Amino acid sequence: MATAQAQPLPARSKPKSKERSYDLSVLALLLPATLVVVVLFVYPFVYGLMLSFMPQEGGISISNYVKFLQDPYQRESLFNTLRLAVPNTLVVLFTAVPAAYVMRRGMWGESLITTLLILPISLGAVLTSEGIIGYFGPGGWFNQILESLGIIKEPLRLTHNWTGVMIAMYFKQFAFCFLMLLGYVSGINPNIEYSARVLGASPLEVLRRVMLPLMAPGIAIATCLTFVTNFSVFPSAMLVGEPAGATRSIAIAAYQMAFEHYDFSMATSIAMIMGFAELAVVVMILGLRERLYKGSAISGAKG
Amino acid sequence: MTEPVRHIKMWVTKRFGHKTVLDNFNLEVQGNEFVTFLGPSGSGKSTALNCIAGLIPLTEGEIWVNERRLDTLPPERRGLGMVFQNYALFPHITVFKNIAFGLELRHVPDKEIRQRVAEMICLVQLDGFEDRYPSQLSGGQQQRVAIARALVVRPSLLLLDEPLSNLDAKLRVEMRGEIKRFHEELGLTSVYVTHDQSEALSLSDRIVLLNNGITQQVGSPKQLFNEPANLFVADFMGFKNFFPCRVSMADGAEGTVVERKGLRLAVQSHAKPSVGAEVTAAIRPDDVQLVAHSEGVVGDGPVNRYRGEVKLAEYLGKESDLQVDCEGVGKVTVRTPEEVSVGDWVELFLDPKRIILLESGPQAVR
Repeated sequence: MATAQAQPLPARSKPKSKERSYDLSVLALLLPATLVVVVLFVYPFVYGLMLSFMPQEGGISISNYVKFLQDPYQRESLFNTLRLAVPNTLVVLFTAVPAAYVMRRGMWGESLITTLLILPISLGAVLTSEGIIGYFGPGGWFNQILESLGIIKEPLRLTHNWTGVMIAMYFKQFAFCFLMLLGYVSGINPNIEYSARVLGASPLEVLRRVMLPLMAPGIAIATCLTFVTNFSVFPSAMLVGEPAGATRSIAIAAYQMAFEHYDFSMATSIAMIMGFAELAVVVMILGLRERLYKGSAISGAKG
Repeated sequence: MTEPVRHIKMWVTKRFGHKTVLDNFNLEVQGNEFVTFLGPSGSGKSTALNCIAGLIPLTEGEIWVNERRLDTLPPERRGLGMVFQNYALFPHITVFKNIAFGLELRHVPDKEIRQRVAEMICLVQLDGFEDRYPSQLSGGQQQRVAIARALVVRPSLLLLDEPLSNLDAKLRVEMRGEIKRFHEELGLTSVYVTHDQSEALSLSDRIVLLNNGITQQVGSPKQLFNEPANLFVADFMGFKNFFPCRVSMADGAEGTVVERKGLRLAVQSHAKPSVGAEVTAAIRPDDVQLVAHSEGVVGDGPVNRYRGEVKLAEYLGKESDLQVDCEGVGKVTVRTPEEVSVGDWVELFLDPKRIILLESGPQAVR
């Protein structure tokens, strides 16, 4: 490169050589991150993928995958997970999007609300699960209040089943999704909204024609992250769910295969199926966004 | 919705909590007038504009356009056009779609939309940019789109909130001319908000100068420039030298004479204060003349002549701003085309015709 610079070059190729040296320094900066990704993600992933094709019986085959999909008990874990993750993602989305939208210009007591929402995330799944069992359990306050108000005769069964896991997941995911969306929506220049109003758009039309398209990338990302987190549900499914039945999620299935049956090959196969299922849904969500609001990714939110 | 403005009448008070940001703001605007709200930041000028647009509710007051009461309507039903400082274009749609936005909401037929948008694109000289997205345009082009988007709906009143602040100096002057052109060609009534006095002077038929939510002066650019109503207006319009004095002679041979220890100024102004009144004499830096300068000490001159040492010289290209320390008078700011260095002794002449007298009231700025 030194020789290239020494030669009298036509004006057009000069920036090119500059660009190349810039590229090299960028590569050097990327090296640590690349190393971490390779060691902690790429290698285990490739290793796992290969392991999943080497069943315990020996040889190289797809028999693990076939076994999983043919065994109704194992296969059911995939549907159990979907039955939790899909409705939960939808409920979280349909509550978090309006809440974030309403609070986009800030409101009284916002920091208190935010703090309350961050608590379930920071306390961790185990503590919140314990709390949910206590509060929503047959003898918990929730049932006691409803009974004393005469709304119900028998205590509702809200824990150690599908409902319990839904409640536990909702608390965590709503906070997560809401805060992410709030950051996104409040970053949109308010004058964009005001100019739409002055041009003749009612609040509803502003939402439909301007704010939703601008929020779409944020909503899509929040949906993906919420879904993926939901899909890998494990502690809540164990603690407030019915891990032998309705809430035996695919993560539990993989765990049992690895640490109860010690079949690591089969366990990685299940993990791979889990990964591909998540990937499929993420691709679907992003594709849907692309179709709904074509071109809205341009220039982000700030005017 | 788009009948021409014959007159606008408003009186508005706006409080945020206990803070009054706009105190009984009273204004009448005639059709085709270009009115500017001028003031420093926090003066309430943008608040007044946002109240007209309907983006901020009034605490008290009314706004009337012709015989229609405006302040009770939501912004989308006021039929106004508004241009924002940071353009506020819709980033997710093209230039064409941005300009067509208001027309689509009004259910204008497609064919007419295409025709009217094309007219606007021609007016703001953006031919060929129809299919670009806002992020692919320069700041000046974005502001042209914003203006076209506001004008295409043929608003009764055009509001402009510091539309040139984000542009560089050259483009700012160019766009200033453009805005004046649109105003005249389309026979608009415009209300313009700025903190830049040169913008206000060059564009406006009338200026409303605000400070702390209180109207300081309403008048033509000439009136504000030559006859500021108080110290604040004088300071804002570029008077830099203020001398608090007492009137010692009214209407004598030299005109009015004001004095304080070490300073005696003859003034020929319209104001006729009575003897003994406390006033502030003010003069612009470019109205102070450099009579002569040398390294030695200059002898005492006749009327309004003072000598002093140059303490600071700020080179501005064609001219320089000097800080001259005059004995007994204090610091005098002078703008001169002559080359003078720090440490030189100069003699200043404060032209009696260019000095104005202001009341030294509670609104004194320094």
